[in-house]
Amino acid sequence: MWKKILSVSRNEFRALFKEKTFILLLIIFILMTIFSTYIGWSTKNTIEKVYQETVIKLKESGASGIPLDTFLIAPALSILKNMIVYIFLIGSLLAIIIGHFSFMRDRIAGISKIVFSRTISRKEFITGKITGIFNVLALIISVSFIISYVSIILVTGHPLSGNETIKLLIFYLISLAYLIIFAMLGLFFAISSRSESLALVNPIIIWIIISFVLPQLTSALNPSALLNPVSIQGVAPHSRFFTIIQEVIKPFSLSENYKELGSSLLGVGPINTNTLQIIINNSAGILLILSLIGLLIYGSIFSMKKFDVCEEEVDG
Amino acid sequence: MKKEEIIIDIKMLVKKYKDFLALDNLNLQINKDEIFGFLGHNGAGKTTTVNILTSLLPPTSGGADICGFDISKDSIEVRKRIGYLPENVKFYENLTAYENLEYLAQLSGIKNTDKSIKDTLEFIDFRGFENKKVGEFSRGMKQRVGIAQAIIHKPEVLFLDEPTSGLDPMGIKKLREVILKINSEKGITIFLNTHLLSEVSKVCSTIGVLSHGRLIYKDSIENTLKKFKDEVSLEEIYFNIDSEKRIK
Repeated sequence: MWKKILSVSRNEFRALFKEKTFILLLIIFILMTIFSTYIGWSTKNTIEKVYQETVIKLKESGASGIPLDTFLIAPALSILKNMIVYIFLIGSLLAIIIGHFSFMRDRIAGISKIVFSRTISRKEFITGKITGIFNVLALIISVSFIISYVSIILVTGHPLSGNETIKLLIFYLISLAYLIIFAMLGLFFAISSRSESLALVNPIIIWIIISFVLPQLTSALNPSALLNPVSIQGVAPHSRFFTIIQEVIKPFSLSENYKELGSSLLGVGPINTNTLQIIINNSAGILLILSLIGLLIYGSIFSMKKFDVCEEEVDG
Repeated sequence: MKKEEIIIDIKMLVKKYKDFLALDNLNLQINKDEIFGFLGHNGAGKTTTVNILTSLLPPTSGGADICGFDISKDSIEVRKRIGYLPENVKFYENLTAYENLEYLAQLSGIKNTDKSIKDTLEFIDFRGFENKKVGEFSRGMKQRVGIAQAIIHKPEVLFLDEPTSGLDPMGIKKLREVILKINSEKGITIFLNTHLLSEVSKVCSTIGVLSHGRLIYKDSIENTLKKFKDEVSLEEIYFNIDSEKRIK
Protein backbone atom coordinates (compact mmCIF):
# COMPACT_ATOMS: atom_id res chain seq x y z
CA MET A 1 0.00 0.00 0.00
CA TRP A 2 2.64 2.54 1.09
CA LYS A 3 4.83 1.79 -1.91
CA LYS A 4 2.05 2.85 -4.26
CA ILE A 5 1.31 5.97 -2.20
CA LEU A 6 5.01 6.86 -2.32
CA SER A 7 5.11 6.27 -6.09
CA VAL A 8 2.25 8.73 -6.63
CA SER A 9 3.91 11.18 -4.24
CA ARG A 10 7.29 10.88 -6.00
CA ASN A 11 5.65 11.36 -9.36
CA GLU A 12 4.17 14.63 -8.08
CA PHE A 13 7.67 15.98 -7.53
CA ARG A 14 8.89 14.77 -10.89
CA ALA A 15 5.96 16.18 -12.85
CA LEU A 16 5.60 19.43 -10.90
CA PHE A 17 9.20 20.51 -11.39
CA LYS A 18 8.59 20.27 -15.14
CA GLU A 19 5.60 22.68 -15.05
CA LYS A 20 6.55 26.14 -16.34
CA THR A 21 3.83 27.99 -14.35
CA PHE A 22 4.97 26.33 -11.14
CA ILE A 23 8.65 27.08 -11.77
CA LEU A 24 7.84 30.74 -12.50
CA LEU A 25 5.79 31.19 -9.31
CA LEU A 26 8.44 29.32 -7.30
CA ILE A 27 11.18 31.64 -8.54
CA ILE A 28 9.00 34.67 -7.70
CA PHE A 29 8.39 33.28 -4.21
CA ILE A 30 12.08 32.58 -3.54
CA LEU A 31 13.03 36.03 -4.84
CA MET A 32 10.35 37.55 -2.60
CA THR A 33 11.88 35.76 0.39
CA ILE A 34 15.28 37.26 -0.39
CA PHE A 35 13.67 40.61 -1.15
CA SER A 36 11.80 40.55 2.15
CA THR A 37 15.02 40.57 4.15
CA TYR A 38 16.52 43.17 1.84
CA ILE A 39 13.53 45.47 2.46
CA GLY A 40 13.88 44.88 6.20
CA TRP A 41 17.61 45.64 6.04
CA SER A 42 17.05 48.71 3.86
CA THR A 43 14.33 50.03 6.22
CA LYS A 44 16.60 49.48 9.19
CA ASN A 45 19.45 51.44 7.52
CA THR A 46 17.17 54.32 6.48
CA ILE A 47 15.62 54.63 9.94
CA GLU A 48 18.99 54.45 11.64
CA LYS A 49 20.37 57.09 9.30
CA VAL A 50 17.41 59.38 10.00
CA TYR A 51 17.76 58.62 13.71
CA GLN A 52 21.46 59.55 13.73
CA GLU A 53 20.74 62.80 11.85
CA THR A 54 17.95 63.61 14.31
CA VAL A 55 20.18 62.88 17.27
CA ILE A 56 22.82 65.27 15.89
CA LYS A 57 20.22 67.99 15.33
CA LEU A 58 18.69 67.45 18.76
CA LYS A 59 22.12 67.66 20.38
CA GLU A 60 22.90 70.83 18.42
CA SER A 61 19.65 72.40 19.60
CA GLY A 62 20.62 71.54 23.18
CA ALA A 63 17.92 68.94 23.82
CA SER A 64 18.64 66.74 26.82
CA GLY A 65 16.20 63.76 26.51
CA ILE A 66 17.09 61.89 23.33
CA PRO A 67 14.73 58.94 22.53
CA LEU A 68 16.15 55.44 22.03
CA ASP A 69 16.80 53.94 18.58
CA THR A 70 13.65 51.94 17.83
CA PHE A 71 15.63 49.31 15.96
CA LEU A 72 17.68 48.58 19.04
CA ILE A 73 14.54 47.38 20.83
CA ALA A 74 12.82 45.78 17.79
CA PRO A 75 13.23 41.97 17.58
CA ALA A 76 15.59 40.74 14.86
CA LEU A 77 12.78 38.67 13.32
CA SER A 78 10.71 41.79 12.61
CA ILE A 79 12.96 42.37 9.60
CA LEU A 80 10.98 39.54 8.00
CA LYS A 81 7.56 41.16 8.48
CA ASN A 82 7.01 41.38 4.72
CA MET A 83 7.17 37.59 4.50
CA ILE A 84 3.72 37.45 6.10
CA VAL A 85 2.28 39.41 3.17
CA TYR A 86 4.23 37.45 0.57
CA ILE A 87 3.06 34.13 1.97
CA PHE A 88 -0.58 35.10 2.25
CA LEU A 89 -0.58 36.63 -1.25
CA ILE A 90 2.01 34.97 -3.51
CA GLY A 91 2.53 31.79 -1.48
CA SER A 92 -1.16 30.97 -1.36
CA LEU A 93 -1.47 31.51 -5.12
CA LEU A 94 1.51 29.20 -5.68
CA ALA A 95 -0.14 26.62 -3.41
CA ILE A 96 -3.38 26.77 -5.44
CA ILE A 97 -1.37 26.13 -8.61
CA ILE A 98 0.39 23.15 -6.97
CA GLY A 99 -2.90 21.61 -5.81
CA HIS A 100 -4.65 22.36 -9.10
CA PHE A 101 -1.98 20.82 -11.33
CA SER A 102 -1.60 17.85 -9.03
CA PHE A 103 -4.84 16.36 -10.32
CA MET A 104 -5.58 18.47 -13.40
CA ARG A 105 -2.32 17.23 -14.92
CA ASP A 106 -3.77 13.72 -14.91
CA ARG A 107 -7.11 14.89 -16.29
CA ILE A 108 -5.47 16.87 -19.12
CA ALA A 109 -3.12 13.99 -19.89
CA GLY A 110 -6.10 11.60 -19.82
CA ILE A 111 -4.03 9.15 -17.83
CA SER A 112 -6.66 8.35 -15.17
CA LYS A 113 -8.04 5.37 -17.09
CA ILE A 114 -4.72 3.53 -17.25
CA VAL A 115 -3.96 4.46 -13.64
CA PHE A 116 -7.23 3.11 -12.26
CA SER A 117 -7.15 -0.04 -14.38
CA ARG A 118 -4.20 -0.99 -12.14
CA THR A 119 -4.25 -2.31 -8.60
CA ILE A 120 -4.05 1.08 -6.89
CA SER A 121 -7.20 2.12 -5.01
CA ARG A 122 -8.61 5.62 -5.23
CA LYS A 123 -7.83 6.18 -1.55
CA GLU A 124 -4.19 5.20 -2.07
CA PHE A 125 -4.01 7.42 -5.14
CA ILE A 126 -5.41 10.55 -3.46
CA THR A 127 -3.31 9.91 -0.33
CA GLY A 128 -0.26 9.81 -2.62
CA LYS A 129 -1.29 13.07 -4.27
CA ILE A 130 -1.84 14.80 -0.90
CA THR A 131 1.48 13.48 0.44
CA GLY A 132 3.20 14.75 -2.71
CA ILE A 133 1.65 18.21 -2.27
CA PHE A 134 2.71 18.29 1.41
CA ASN A 135 6.27 17.35 0.45
CA VAL A 136 6.53 19.96 -2.30
CA LEU A 137 5.20 22.70 -0.01
CA ALA A 138 7.46 21.56 2.84
CA LEU A 139 10.46 21.79 0.50
CA ILE A 140 9.52 25.33 -0.59
CA ILE A 141 8.93 26.46 2.99
CA SER A 142 12.21 24.86 4.12
CA VAL A 143 14.15 26.73 1.40
CA SER A 144 12.40 29.95 2.43
CA PHE A 145 13.21 29.27 6.11
CA ILE A 146 16.90 28.70 5.36
CA ILE A 147 17.11 31.85 3.22
CA SER A 148 15.41 33.90 5.97
CA TYR A 149 17.58 32.42 8.73
CA VAL A 150 20.85 33.10 6.89
CA SER A 151 19.72 36.55 5.74
CA ILE A 152 18.85 37.68 9.28
CA ILE A 153 22.26 36.58 10.54
CA LEU A 154 23.92 38.48 7.68
CA VAL A 155 21.85 41.62 8.31
CA THR A 156 22.02 41.71 12.11
CA GLY A 157 25.56 40.41 12.30
CA HIS A 158 24.84 37.92 15.08
CA PRO A 159 23.24 34.46 15.24
CA LEU A 160 19.61 34.07 16.29
CA SER A 161 18.91 33.03 19.86
CA GLY A 162 17.22 29.69 20.59
CA ASN A 163 13.90 31.43 21.30
CA GLU A 164 14.10 33.43 18.05
CA THR A 165 14.94 30.30 16.07
CA ILE A 166 11.92 28.49 17.57
CA LYS A 167 9.68 31.47 16.75
CA LEU A 168 10.94 31.55 13.17
CA LEU A 169 10.45 27.80 12.87
CA ILE A 170 6.89 28.02 14.23
CA PHE A 171 6.17 30.92 11.89
CA TYR A 172 7.20 28.80 8.91
CA LEU A 173 5.26 25.76 10.19
CA ILE A 174 2.13 27.90 10.48
CA SER A 175 2.86 29.27 7.00
CA LEU A 176 3.14 25.71 5.70
CA ALA A 177 -0.25 24.89 7.23
CA TYR A 178 -1.67 28.08 5.68
CA LEU A 179 -0.35 27.11 2.24
CA ILE A 180 -1.67 23.54 2.59
CA ILE A 181 -5.20 24.99 2.87
CA PHE A 182 -4.86 26.67 -0.53
CA ALA A 183 -3.20 23.66 -2.12
CA MET A 184 -6.08 21.48 -0.89
CA LEU A 185 -8.54 24.01 -2.34
CA GLY A 186 -6.79 23.71 -5.70
CA LEU A 187 -6.85 19.90 -5.46
CA PHE A 188 -10.48 19.72 -4.34
CA PHE A 189 -11.73 21.85 -7.24
CA ALA A 190 -9.46 20.04 -9.74
CA ILE A 191 -11.22 16.79 -8.80
CA SER A 192 -14.76 18.05 -8.41
CA SER A 193 -15.09 20.64 -11.20
CA ARG A 194 -16.45 19.65 -14.58
CA SER A 195 -14.17 21.91 -16.62
CA GLU A 196 -10.51 22.84 -16.37
CA SER A 197 -11.26 26.59 -16.27
CA LEU A 198 -13.80 26.24 -13.45
CA ALA A 199 -11.33 24.12 -11.53
CA LEU A 200 -8.96 27.08 -11.46
CA VAL A 201 -11.47 29.94 -11.25
CA ASN A 202 -13.24 28.57 -8.14
CA PRO A 203 -10.19 28.44 -5.84
CA ILE A 204 -8.99 31.80 -7.19
CA ILE A 205 -12.35 33.36 -6.22
CA ILE A 206 -11.98 31.91 -2.71
CA TRP A 207 -8.38 33.20 -2.62
CA ILE A 208 -9.64 36.69 -3.53
CA ILE A 209 -12.31 36.50 -0.80
CA ILE A 210 -9.81 35.31 1.84
CA SER A 211 -6.98 37.63 0.83
CA PHE A 212 -8.84 40.80 -0.15
CA VAL A 213 -12.56 40.81 0.68
CA LEU A 214 -12.47 39.59 4.29
CA PRO A 215 -9.53 41.87 5.24
CA GLN A 216 -11.58 44.79 3.85
CA LEU A 217 -14.22 43.97 6.44
CA THR A 218 -11.77 43.47 9.29
CA SER A 219 -8.28 44.95 9.51
CA ALA A 220 -8.81 47.21 6.48
CA LEU A 221 -11.44 49.04 8.51
CA ASN A 222 -8.37 50.17 10.37
CA PRO A 223 -6.92 52.56 7.75
CA SER A 224 -3.68 51.55 6.00
CA ALA A 225 -3.68 48.09 7.53
CA LEU A 226 -5.00 46.21 4.50
CA LEU A 227 -1.80 44.44 3.65
CA ASN A 228 0.44 45.35 6.52
CA PRO A 229 0.61 42.75 9.22
CA VAL A 230 -0.33 45.19 11.93
CA SER A 231 -2.64 44.12 14.71
CA ILE A 232 -5.59 46.36 15.30
CA GLN A 233 -4.99 48.38 18.41
CA GLY A 234 -7.63 50.81 19.36
CA VAL A 235 -7.75 52.59 16.01
CA ALA A 236 -10.99 50.92 15.04
CA PRO A 237 -13.52 53.22 13.41
CA HIS A 238 -15.92 54.91 15.77
CA SER A 239 -18.86 53.18 14.16
CA ARG A 240 -20.72 50.46 16.02
CA PHE A 241 -21.70 48.89 12.69
CA PHE A 242 -18.07 48.43 11.60
CA THR A 243 -17.00 47.27 15.04
CA ILE A 244 -19.68 44.55 15.03
CA ILE A 245 -18.76 43.42 11.49
CA GLN A 246 -15.12 43.29 12.50
CA GLU A 247 -15.83 41.26 15.62
CA VAL A 248 -18.13 38.82 13.85
CA ILE A 249 -15.99 38.19 10.78
CA LYS A 250 -12.49 38.28 12.25
CA PRO A 251 -12.56 34.88 14.01
CA PHE A 252 -13.45 33.27 10.66
CA SER A 253 -11.05 35.31 8.54
CA LEU A 254 -8.21 33.01 7.66
CA SER A 255 -5.83 35.71 6.47
CA GLU A 256 -6.49 37.88 9.54
CA ASN A 257 -5.72 35.03 11.88
CA TYR A 258 -2.58 34.18 9.94
CA LYS A 259 -1.44 37.80 9.87
CA GLU A 260 -1.93 38.21 13.60
CA LEU A 261 -0.18 34.97 14.44
CA GLY A 262 2.69 35.81 12.08
CA SER A 263 2.99 39.33 13.48
CA SER A 264 3.14 38.03 17.04
CA LEU A 265 5.80 35.44 16.19
CA LEU A 266 7.98 37.85 14.22
CA GLY A 267 7.61 40.54 16.86
CA VAL A 268 5.75 43.09 14.78
CA GLY A 269 3.57 45.27 17.02
CA PRO A 270 3.42 44.51 20.74
CA ILE A 271 6.43 42.40 21.70
CA ASN A 272 5.71 39.12 23.41
CA THR A 273 8.80 37.05 24.12
CA ASN A 274 6.88 34.04 25.41
CA THR A 275 6.37 31.73 22.42
CA LEU A 276 3.93 29.47 24.26
CA GLN A 277 1.85 32.50 25.25
CA ILE A 278 1.72 33.61 21.59
CA ILE A 279 0.43 30.18 20.58
CA ILE A 280 -2.17 30.14 23.37
CA ASN A 281 -3.33 33.67 22.47
CA ASN A 282 -3.76 32.60 18.84
CA SER A 283 -5.12 29.11 19.47
CA ALA A 284 -8.44 29.95 17.82
CA GLY A 285 -6.61 30.94 14.63
CA ILE A 286 -4.48 27.78 14.72
CA LEU A 287 -7.62 25.69 15.25
CA LEU A 288 -9.28 27.41 12.28
CA ILE A 289 -6.29 26.62 10.03
CA LEU A 290 -6.12 22.98 11.15
CA SER A 291 -9.90 22.51 10.83
CA LEU A 292 -9.87 23.83 7.28
CA ILE A 293 -7.01 21.50 6.36
CA GLY A 294 -8.95 18.53 7.76
CA LEU A 295 -12.16 19.57 6.03
CA LEU A 296 -10.49 20.04 2.65
CA ILE A 297 -8.58 16.74 2.86
CA TYR A 298 -11.85 14.98 3.63
CA GLY A 299 -13.53 16.84 0.73
CA SER A 300 -10.77 15.80 -1.68
CA ILE A 301 -10.94 12.12 -0.63
CA PHE A 302 -14.74 12.17 -0.93
CA SER A 303 -14.61 13.82 -4.39
CA MET A 304 -12.03 11.27 -5.52
CA LYS A 305 -14.36 8.42 -4.57
CA LYS A 306 -17.10 10.01 -6.68
CA PHE A 307 -14.83 11.00 -9.59
CA ASP A 308 -15.92 9.50 -12.88
CA VAL A 309 -12.80 8.10 -14.53
CA CYS A 310 -14.66 7.64 -17.80
CA GLU A 311 -15.85 11.29 -17.66
CA GLU A 312 -19.38 10.49 -18.85
CA GLU A 313 -18.11 8.59 -21.88
CA VAL A 314 -21.12 7.11 -23.66
CA ASP A 315 -19.72 6.64 -27.14
CA GLY A 316 -18.65 3.36 -28.72
CA MET B 1 -9.07 -32.34 -27.71
CA LYS B 2 -8.04 -29.63 -25.24
CA LYS B 3 -10.94 -28.42 -23.11
CA GLU B 4 -11.59 -24.73 -23.68
CA GLU B 5 -11.29 -22.59 -20.59
CA ILE B 6 -13.54 -19.53 -20.28
CA ILE B 7 -11.48 -16.56 -19.12
CA ILE B 8 -14.06 -13.79 -19.57
CA ASP B 9 -17.64 -14.58 -18.62
CA ILE B 10 -20.13 -11.73 -19.07
CA LYS B 11 -23.58 -12.36 -17.62
CA MET B 12 -26.72 -10.27 -18.26
CA LEU B 13 -24.70 -7.05 -18.28
CA VAL B 14 -26.77 -3.86 -18.34
CA LYS B 15 -25.51 -0.27 -18.37
CA LYS B 16 -27.80 2.74 -18.43
CA TYR B 17 -26.73 6.39 -18.71
CA LYS B 18 -29.83 8.26 -17.54
CA ASP B 19 -32.31 7.38 -20.34
CA PHE B 20 -29.75 5.86 -22.69
CA LEU B 21 -29.39 2.08 -22.61
CA ALA B 22 -25.77 1.44 -23.55
CA LEU B 23 -25.70 -2.31 -22.79
CA ASP B 24 -28.82 -4.44 -22.93
CA ASN B 25 -28.43 -7.82 -21.16
CA LEU B 26 -25.08 -8.63 -22.69
CA ASN B 27 -24.00 -12.27 -22.39
CA LEU B 28 -20.59 -13.24 -23.73
CA GLN B 29 -17.93 -15.87 -23.03
CA ILE B 30 -14.37 -15.65 -24.25
CA ASN B 31 -11.92 -18.53 -24.11
CA LYS B 32 -8.36 -18.43 -22.85
CA ASP B 33 -5.65 -17.64 -25.44
CA GLU B 34 -8.17 -16.26 -27.92
CA ILE B 35 -7.88 -12.99 -29.78
CA PHE B 36 -11.47 -11.83 -29.63
CA GLY B 37 -12.58 -9.07 -31.99
CA PHE B 38 -15.48 -7.05 -30.61
CA LEU B 39 -17.11 -5.34 -33.56
CA GLY B 40 -19.77 -2.69 -33.65
CA HIS B 41 -20.69 0.69 -35.03
CA ASN B 42 -19.88 3.87 -33.09
CA GLY B 43 -22.11 4.05 -30.03
CA ALA B 44 -22.83 0.30 -30.02
CA GLY B 45 -21.49 -0.05 -26.46
CA LYS B 46 -18.02 -1.51 -27.07
CA THR B 47 -16.10 1.02 -24.98
CA THR B 48 -18.72 0.84 -22.23
CA THR B 49 -18.22 -2.95 -22.11
CA VAL B 50 -14.45 -2.55 -21.78
CA ASN B 51 -14.83 0.20 -19.16
CA ILE B 52 -16.98 -2.14 -17.08
CA LEU B 53 -14.70 -5.17 -17.56
CA THR B 54 -11.66 -3.12 -16.50
CA SER B 55 -13.68 -2.04 -13.40
CA LEU B 56 -13.49 1.63 -14.36
CA LEU B 57 -17.27 1.85 -14.57
CA PRO B 58 -19.86 0.09 -12.40
CA PRO B 59 -22.56 -1.87 -14.25
CA THR B 60 -26.22 -0.95 -13.71
CA SER B 61 -27.02 -4.65 -13.31
CA GLY B 62 -25.54 -8.01 -14.21
CA GLY B 63 -21.85 -8.69 -14.00
CA ALA B 64 -18.82 -10.52 -15.28
CA ASP B 65 -16.02 -12.80 -14.13
CA ILE B 66 -12.48 -12.42 -15.38
CA CYS B 67 -10.05 -15.26 -14.59
CA GLY B 68 -12.70 -16.48 -12.14
CA PHE B 69 -12.95 -13.20 -10.23
CA ASP B 70 -16.04 -11.03 -10.07
CA ILE B 71 -15.37 -7.57 -11.57
CA SER B 72 -17.41 -5.80 -8.85
CA LYS B 73 -16.56 -7.82 -5.74
CA ASP B 74 -12.93 -8.70 -6.54
CA SER B 75 -11.96 -5.72 -8.65
CA ILE B 76 -8.38 -5.61 -7.29
CA GLU B 77 -7.86 -9.30 -8.17
CA VAL B 78 -9.31 -8.62 -11.62
CA ARG B 79 -7.05 -5.60 -12.13
CA LYS B 80 -4.00 -7.68 -11.22
CA ARG B 81 -4.79 -9.95 -14.15
CA ILE B 82 -5.69 -7.45 -16.85
CA GLY B 83 -3.89 -4.97 -19.04
CA TYR B 84 -5.69 -2.09 -20.70
CA LEU B 85 -4.97 0.17 -23.63
CA PRO B 86 -7.69 2.84 -23.93
CA GLU B 87 -8.59 4.51 -27.19
CA ASN B 88 -6.27 7.49 -27.76
CA VAL B 89 -3.95 6.53 -24.93
CA LYS B 90 -2.26 9.52 -23.35
CA PHE B 91 0.70 10.02 -21.04
CA TYR B 92 2.47 12.79 -19.19
CA GLU B 93 3.87 14.57 -22.24
CA ASN B 94 6.76 16.26 -20.44
CA LEU B 95 8.00 13.01 -18.92
CA THR B 96 10.06 10.45 -20.81
CA ALA B 97 8.65 7.08 -21.90
CA TYR B 98 10.77 5.45 -19.18
CA GLU B 99 9.45 7.81 -16.46
CA ASN B 100 5.85 7.19 -17.54
CA LEU B 101 6.35 3.43 -17.60
CA GLU B 102 8.21 3.44 -14.29
CA TYR B 103 5.32 5.27 -12.60
CA LEU B 104 2.68 2.92 -14.04
CA ALA B 105 4.76 -0.17 -13.26
CA GLN B 106 5.08 0.96 -9.64
CA LEU B 107 1.30 1.41 -9.45
CA SER B 108 0.98 -2.20 -10.58
CA GLY B 109 3.19 -3.27 -7.70
CA ILE B 110 6.15 -4.39 -9.85
CA LYS B 111 9.32 -4.68 -7.76
CA ASN B 112 12.11 -4.59 -10.33
CA THR B 113 10.68 -1.85 -12.52
CA ASP B 114 13.91 -1.21 -14.44
CA LYS B 115 14.18 -4.81 -15.65
CA SER B 116 10.46 -5.00 -16.44
CA ILE B 117 10.58 -1.79 -18.50
CA LYS B 118 13.65 -2.90 -20.45
CA ASP B 119 12.27 -6.41 -21.07
CA THR B 120 8.89 -5.07 -22.18
CA LEU B 121 10.39 -2.48 -24.52
CA GLU B 122 12.69 -5.16 -25.94
CA PHE B 123 9.70 -7.44 -26.47
CA ILE B 124 7.77 -4.83 -28.44
CA ASP B 125 10.95 -3.76 -30.27
CA PHE B 126 10.93 -0.23 -28.87
CA ARG B 127 14.37 0.10 -27.24
CA GLY B 128 16.28 3.35 -27.74
CA PHE B 129 13.30 5.65 -27.27
CA GLU B 130 12.80 5.26 -23.55
CA ASN B 131 14.65 8.44 -22.60
CA LYS B 132 12.75 10.68 -25.00
CA LYS B 133 9.80 12.77 -23.86
CA VAL B 134 6.45 11.26 -24.83
CA GLY B 135 5.40 14.71 -26.11
CA GLU B 136 7.92 14.26 -28.94
CA PHE B 137 6.46 10.90 -30.02
CA SER B 138 4.27 10.21 -33.06
CA ARG B 139 0.84 8.66 -32.59
CA GLY B 140 2.19 5.22 -33.43
CA MET B 141 5.05 5.53 -30.94
CA LYS B 142 2.67 6.58 -28.18
CA GLN B 143 0.55 3.56 -29.00
CA ARG B 144 3.61 1.33 -28.56
CA VAL B 145 4.26 2.85 -25.14
CA GLY B 146 0.57 2.23 -24.48
CA ILE B 147 1.01 -1.45 -25.32
CA ALA B 148 4.10 -1.56 -23.09
CA GLN B 149 2.24 -0.16 -20.07
CA ALA B 150 -0.57 -2.63 -20.66
CA ILE B 151 1.64 -5.74 -20.63
CA ILE B 152 4.43 -4.66 -18.27
CA HIS B 153 2.82 -6.45 -15.29
CA LYS B 154 2.32 -9.68 -17.28
CA PRO B 155 -1.50 -9.75 -17.39
CA GLU B 156 -3.59 -12.76 -18.42
CA VAL B 157 -6.10 -10.69 -20.39
CA LEU B 158 -5.38 -7.63 -22.48
CA PHE B 159 -8.11 -5.15 -23.42
CA LEU B 160 -7.39 -3.05 -26.49
CA ASP B 161 -9.87 -0.30 -27.32
CA GLU B 162 -9.61 0.77 -30.97
CA PRO B 163 -5.81 0.35 -30.89
CA THR B 164 -5.22 1.32 -34.53
CA SER B 165 -7.38 4.43 -34.39
CA GLY B 166 -5.54 7.33 -36.03
CA LEU B 167 -2.47 5.31 -37.03
CA ASP B 168 -0.87 5.37 -40.48
CA PRO B 169 -0.69 2.07 -42.46
CA MET B 170 2.84 1.34 -41.24
CA GLY B 171 1.82 2.01 -37.65
CA ILE B 172 -1.19 -0.32 -38.05
CA LYS B 173 1.03 -3.08 -39.48
CA LYS B 174 3.57 -2.81 -36.65
CA LEU B 175 0.87 -2.80 -34.00
CA ARG B 176 -0.82 -5.81 -35.56
CA GLU B 177 2.47 -7.72 -35.40
CA VAL B 178 2.89 -6.78 -31.75
CA ILE B 179 -0.66 -7.95 -30.89
CA LEU B 180 -0.06 -11.33 -32.54
CA LYS B 181 3.32 -11.67 -30.78
CA ILE B 182 1.79 -10.89 -27.38
CA ASN B 183 -0.84 -13.59 -27.91
CA SER B 184 1.44 -16.26 -29.30
CA GLU B 185 4.56 -15.75 -27.18
CA LYS B 186 3.09 -14.58 -23.89
CA GLY B 187 -0.17 -16.51 -24.10
CA ILE B 188 -2.23 -13.45 -23.24
CA THR B 189 -5.93 -13.51 -24.16
CA ILE B 190 -6.79 -10.40 -26.15
CA PHE B 191 -10.11 -8.56 -26.21
CA LEU B 192 -9.95 -6.21 -29.17
CA ASN B 193 -12.52 -3.46 -29.59
CA THR B 194 -12.70 -2.20 -33.11
CA HIS B 195 -14.90 -1.07 -35.93
CA LEU B 196 -12.27 -1.93 -38.54
CA LEU B 197 -13.08 -5.26 -40.14
CA SER B 198 -9.78 -5.48 -41.95
CA GLU B 199 -8.06 -5.50 -38.57
CA VAL B 200 -10.29 -8.28 -37.24
CA SER B 201 -9.74 -10.59 -40.20
CA LYS B 202 -5.96 -10.33 -39.90
CA VAL B 203 -5.66 -10.67 -36.16
CA CYS B 204 -8.65 -12.28 -34.45
CA SER B 205 -9.60 -15.90 -33.94
CA THR B 206 -13.20 -15.17 -32.86
CA ILE B 207 -15.54 -12.25 -33.47
CA GLY B 208 -18.57 -10.85 -31.71
CA VAL B 209 -20.84 -8.18 -33.14
CA LEU B 210 -22.48 -5.66 -30.86
CA SER B 211 -25.37 -3.54 -32.02
CA HIS B 212 -27.20 -1.07 -29.78
CA GLY B 213 -25.89 -2.75 -26.64
CA ARG B 214 -26.86 -6.29 -27.71
CA LEU B 215 -24.62 -9.11 -28.89
CA ILE B 216 -26.07 -10.07 -32.24
CA TYR B 217 -23.43 -12.51 -33.45
CA LYS B 218 -20.50 -14.54 -32.15
CA ASP B 219 -18.42 -17.21 -33.84
CA SER B 220 -14.90 -18.01 -34.99
CA ILE B 221 -13.53 -16.21 -38.01
CA GLU B 222 -13.21 -19.59 -39.71
CA ASN B 223 -16.90 -20.47 -39.18
CA THR B 224 -18.03 -16.97 -40.07
CA LEU B 225 -16.29 -17.16 -43.43
CA LYS B 226 -17.85 -20.61 -44.03
CA LYS B 227 -21.35 -19.48 -43.05
CA PHE B 228 -21.26 -16.44 -45.26
CA LYS B 229 -19.30 -18.00 -48.09
CA ASP B 230 -21.22 -16.04 -50.71
CA GLU B 231 -20.11 -12.75 -49.31
CA VAL B 232 -17.03 -11.29 -50.94
CA SER B 233 -15.49 -9.74 -47.86
CA LEU B 234 -15.79 -9.58 -44.09
CA GLU B 235 -17.23 -6.08 -44.54
CA GLU B 236 -20.20 -7.52 -46.38
CA ILE B 237 -20.66 -10.22 -43.74
CA TYR B 238 -20.69 -7.60 -41.01
CA PHE B 239 -23.21 -5.41 -42.78
CA ASN B 240 -25.42 -8.44 -43.47
CA ILE B 241 -25.40 -9.52 -39.81
CA ASP B 242 -25.96 -6.00 -38.52
CA SER B 243 -28.74 -5.05 -40.94
CA GLU B 244 -30.56 -8.39 -40.51
CA LYS B 245 -30.66 -8.03 -36.74
CA ARG B 246 -31.67 -4.38 -36.89
CA ILE B 247 -34.63 -5.22 -39.16
CA LYS B 248 -35.70 -8.02 -36.79
